[in-house]
Amino acid sequence: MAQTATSEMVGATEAPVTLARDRNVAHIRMARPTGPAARATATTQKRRAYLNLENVTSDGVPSSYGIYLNLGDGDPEQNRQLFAGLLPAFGVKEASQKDEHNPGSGLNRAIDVTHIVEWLQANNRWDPDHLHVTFVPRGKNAGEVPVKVGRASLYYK
Amino acid sequence: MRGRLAIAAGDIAELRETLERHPEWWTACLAAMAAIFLVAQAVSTESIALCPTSSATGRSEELQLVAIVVATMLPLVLVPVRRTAQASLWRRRHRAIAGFLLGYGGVWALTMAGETILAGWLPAYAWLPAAAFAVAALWEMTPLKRRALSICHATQPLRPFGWRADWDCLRYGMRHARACTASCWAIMLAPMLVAPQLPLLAGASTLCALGRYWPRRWQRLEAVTLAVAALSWSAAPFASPILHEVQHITGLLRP
Repeated sequence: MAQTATSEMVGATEAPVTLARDRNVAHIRMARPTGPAARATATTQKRRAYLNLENVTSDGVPSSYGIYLNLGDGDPEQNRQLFAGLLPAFGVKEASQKDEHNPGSGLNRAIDVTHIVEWLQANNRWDPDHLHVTFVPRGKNAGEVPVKVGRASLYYK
Repeated sequence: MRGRLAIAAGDIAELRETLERHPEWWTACLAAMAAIFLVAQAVSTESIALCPTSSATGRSEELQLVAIVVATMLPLVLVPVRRTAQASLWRRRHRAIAGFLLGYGGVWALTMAGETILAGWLPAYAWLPAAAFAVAALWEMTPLKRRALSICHATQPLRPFGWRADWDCLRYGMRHARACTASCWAIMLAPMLVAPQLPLLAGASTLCALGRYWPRRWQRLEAVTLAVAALSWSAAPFASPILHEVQHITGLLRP
């Protein structure tokens, strides 16, 4: 039976990020892969990259946030190739409440960002030591309900 | 010969991948070793009672207490242990597990020590174990217990580098142990009051594991099991003379 490859975490944020009305940047400090991701590189196997958003919590129903990698001060509309996906909002409030059915740790979401990492590498915009994740509020009522991202991390698989 | 070597190399690579995918393997091994130690000790002393105060020295009692904690509690944390490793940098995975287990084991060792002291301090009323099982059965039916069990599945962000990463793993372990203690204190107290016996501890640990790994079970399973234990313990003084008589009669009938 074919087994899936083991994933390797190569970097994560040092502190939670609280998102509100303004756009927010989370800094991921990265280390060189030393496990399966390094072996995959040595054997020229294709490795996939995943942005993992962990412990996303909110007291209410937050609006949508667009997630971009290494956007910097750039315009999101002009840099669609850096768009990774949307922050999960559905069920965040329920997942943030401690009760008999839920520990209140919030939601987790993994986004495949392989194509963005490859594009950044191809365009010399990839820094192996740092990755910036920009959260851009979307819509008219964006940011009225704050949402906290416990940790953003990058995995190779 | 070359073919055999290739197969052996393939097996080793597969074993390595399996161990990498399950970094919690050595935690499971620790629990198994502690269980084997307890069983071996019970076999060597021909007694299922653990911590026999008359024969055991202080050090061996402490060793047994540690073995009890390791054998009964570590199987409950294999999932968070794996999660701790997966959320850490590759080179720190096993260090992260060690930090988690240190925090987890520390809180549980204190709890078990407290329960042992409480068990030793309480007068040896015959009804006490039955009452403890009854309290444990009632506790299982409360919303507080379900909430505590739910918090046993909590996760928290772990920082990736330096002493902060170690501290987060330790704190995660302690947090998990607090939730575990709040969830399982009653189940674990009852066997300690009876004087810790191997089958009772194994039963209590199994009940805790069922609650953790089998969410779709019949929700009253633990409560009913503990209630049956309470009733059995209440009936034991009445059943004992009857059993004695039966043994006597069967002994007379034996050729």
